[in-house]
Amino acid sequence: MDDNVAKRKRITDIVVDSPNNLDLESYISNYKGHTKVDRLLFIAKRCPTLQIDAYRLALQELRDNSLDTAKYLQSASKLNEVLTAQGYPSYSIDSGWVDSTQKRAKTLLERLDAELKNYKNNLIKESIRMGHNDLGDHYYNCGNLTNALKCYSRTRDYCTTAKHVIEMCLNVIKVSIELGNFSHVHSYVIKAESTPDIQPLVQAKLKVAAALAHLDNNKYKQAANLFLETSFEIAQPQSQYSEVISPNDIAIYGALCALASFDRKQLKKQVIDNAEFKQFLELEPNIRELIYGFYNSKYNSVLTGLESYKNDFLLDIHLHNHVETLYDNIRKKALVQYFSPFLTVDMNKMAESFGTNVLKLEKELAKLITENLIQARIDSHKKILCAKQQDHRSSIFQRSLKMGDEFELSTNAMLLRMNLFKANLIVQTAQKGEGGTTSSSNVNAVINAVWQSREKQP
Amino acid sequence: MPNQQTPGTVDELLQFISAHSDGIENISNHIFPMLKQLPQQFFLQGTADNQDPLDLLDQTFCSLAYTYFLSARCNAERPNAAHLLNYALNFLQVFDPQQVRIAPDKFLQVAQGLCRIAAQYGNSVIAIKPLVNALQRYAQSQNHLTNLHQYLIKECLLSKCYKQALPILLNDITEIETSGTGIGYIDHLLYHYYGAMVYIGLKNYERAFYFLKLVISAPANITSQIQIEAYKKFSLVSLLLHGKIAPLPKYTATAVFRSIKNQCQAYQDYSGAFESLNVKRLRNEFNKCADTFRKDKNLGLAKQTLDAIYRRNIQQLTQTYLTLSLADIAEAVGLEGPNAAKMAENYVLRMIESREIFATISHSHQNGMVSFHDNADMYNTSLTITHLEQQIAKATKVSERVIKTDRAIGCSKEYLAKSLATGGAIPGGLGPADDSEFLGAGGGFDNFIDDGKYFG
Repeated sequence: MDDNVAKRKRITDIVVDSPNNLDLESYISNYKGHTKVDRLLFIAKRCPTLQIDAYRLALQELRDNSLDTAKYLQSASKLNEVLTAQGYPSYSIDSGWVDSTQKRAKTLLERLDAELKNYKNNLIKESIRMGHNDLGDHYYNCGNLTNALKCYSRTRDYCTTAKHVIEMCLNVIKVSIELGNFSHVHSYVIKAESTPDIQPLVQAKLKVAAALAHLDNNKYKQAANLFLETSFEIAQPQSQYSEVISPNDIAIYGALCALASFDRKQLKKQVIDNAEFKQFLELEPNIRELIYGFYNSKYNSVLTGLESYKNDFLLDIHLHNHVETLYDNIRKKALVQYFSPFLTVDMNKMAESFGTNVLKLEKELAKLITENLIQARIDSHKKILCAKQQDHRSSIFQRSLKMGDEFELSTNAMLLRMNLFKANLIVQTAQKGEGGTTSSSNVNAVINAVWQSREKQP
Repeated sequence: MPNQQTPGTVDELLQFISAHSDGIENISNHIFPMLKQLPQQFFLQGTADNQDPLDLLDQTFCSLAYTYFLSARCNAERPNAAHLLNYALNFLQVFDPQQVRIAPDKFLQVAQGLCRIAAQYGNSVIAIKPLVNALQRYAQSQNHLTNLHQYLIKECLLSKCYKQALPILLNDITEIETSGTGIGYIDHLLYHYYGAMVYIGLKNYERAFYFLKLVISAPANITSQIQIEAYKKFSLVSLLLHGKIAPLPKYTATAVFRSIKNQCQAYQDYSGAFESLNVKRLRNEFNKCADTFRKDKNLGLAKQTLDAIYRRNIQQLTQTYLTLSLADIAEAVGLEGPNAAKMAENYVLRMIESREIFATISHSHQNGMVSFHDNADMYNTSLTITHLEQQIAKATKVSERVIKTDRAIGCSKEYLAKSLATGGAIPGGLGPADDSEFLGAGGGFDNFIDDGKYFG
């Protein structure tokens, strides 16, 4: 967890100048609840051009739909900082709302606490569970995530049906994702999946949560698999998962992870022929074009397309610190795939298809060869990339001769070792046995003498 | 011996010796105890009629007694160098190994005395060759370790007769017999440590690597300083050979692992820099560690790694490129300065000569183009067959030794007691060879090898 926080902190320093395709209003209307606020604040922090709008939207959302006065005040003061710096009139804080909300939250908390105590005295399991749950909801509304997590976890002991377990798990997962504690997410997904009779909608939610956990952990292939298996039911309005993720996100995350980690065959089978995922892709036609472009080997257009979306992805709360790695992997994949059907390739033409020059391409290819991703060698003189001709016969001779040598040495070493044990010649403090021509104290003297003599030699 | 009178004079002793010098048992049962209880001073005396016992005793038949007289005289305050030198050199040619093995410490004293006298004589090298020959007869077999081994190799090192040590070093030590050689663990550690130094001197890093590995992985409850020093050399040799510190055998003692971690940090940092194949970083690290290297007397070896990094980089290029201009090579391997291309050419040339890489340099282009090739040896000549047959013969020999050891263990009291205690079936072993693929090794064969390493 600490690690995650550290990683995030480091990355937030990046400033995105101008998003190319992002329309803040329509983008954020896909979300509800906390994630909406979090995403807006995230964008505000990283993108100066959208800063003011983002803060305003966040404040509106906080005031209308939550009891989180702390975050409201914090965001408002940040907004005012920005406004004064740019010479605009400052934003007036709705202190009436803050006061009344704080009071309301306090009385509500007291009431819920009292109720819970009452339930506990009466020892009615279901009521205690409800009490904890309500308290958790309240904490969640107030933005106190750690306490919310505690309350939700406490309901665990009072769950009587599979439905309760799933409710508990989904709550914990939701809070954990917000907290960025993805290992927690992972274990609760597993717990939820082990309950019987899971509805398809719940299943889909769990898949997405697990996929996010994998994405956070840089396991792109697993993440891609899970995103691709997600049922489209999650996109229905009644599914209420927009407080975590939008269907558009699923399309983007899934597509990028798939591009970065799948080979061509898998891409065809699991993405292009995937009827369920196709519905997600319909929401993001540009991303769909990228996938088709990649599959049809139009690498230049894919790469420029990706580049034009880069800034948008950098503003995504889950995707931002994976963008570079994902892009890198996609580019490598493209290079490998481009070369795969050929014996020799003219590097001038290849550079053209990848929108780069020959010198840069040569460096990139050299790196791929060192990483053993391409079996080829570069003819730097004629600027040709040639596939490596493996001579299996020679390599087998080489290997077996080497193995023979190693076998002899290691067997001898073993025999020596056994005999040393048998003779009890083990390094220890007092030397045993009748031997010992050199006592340990003067060993150093002997060694030193030898070194001195060696040092003198040319 | 209580039933025998201690001889009062040398004459009496000589008489006693001649009376009992028939058969090795007589010698070890009668003469050895007698010699052992006599004081050192006694052997410095002559006979009554002032004759030297060294003239009177037969060097072969009375080797044991002769060893006592010779060692006492060699270690005396003021030996008659020229005189003794002759006796000693003669003796080393004709001694009876069985007899001298009764008193290995005395025999070592003879060798030490000989070397000292030779040094006084002003020519320490003359002792080496006879001792090498003597050692070959003195050891029970060429695979046995004796107390003379480490001393002799040290002498070779000191007098820089590296090549003279080779006949000894070529045979891997596999047998340890404490009786008749009087060895301790230090003999084993020092012999292989000195041996490694000889091989380093001869630039045979493969063998040095193997020897150092033996020292480090020797069975241990605590760590010997020799093992630490061995690890320091091991890490540098390992860089020269493999470009990184090779993993130590899994059976290396935990105490050793711990000490290495604590005491060889500089070497590990340095190897990290080498692995990055970044010349600048390596040079920085080298300057940082130079004092440690100097203190450990490893500076020369460390300097070689600075050269080796270029070679390793060039080697890497052969995997990536078919042709590359000299200027590009210089840039890629980190050579700098106005002469970079020339230096690169030099490296490439030397590597082609030593068959590290296979390449041709063409100067028909403006700035020199290098084409890398694959190994030209297609393994389709009779040489390959001969080589293979030699290897197979060696492997068979090793396997036979393993089977022998396996059988010996199978017959040992401890093993049988244990297998009876655990109830019945004897795992791995006594039966006829059932694994034909492994050259007839017994079933217990796989216990001896680290199969993860060789078959993984």
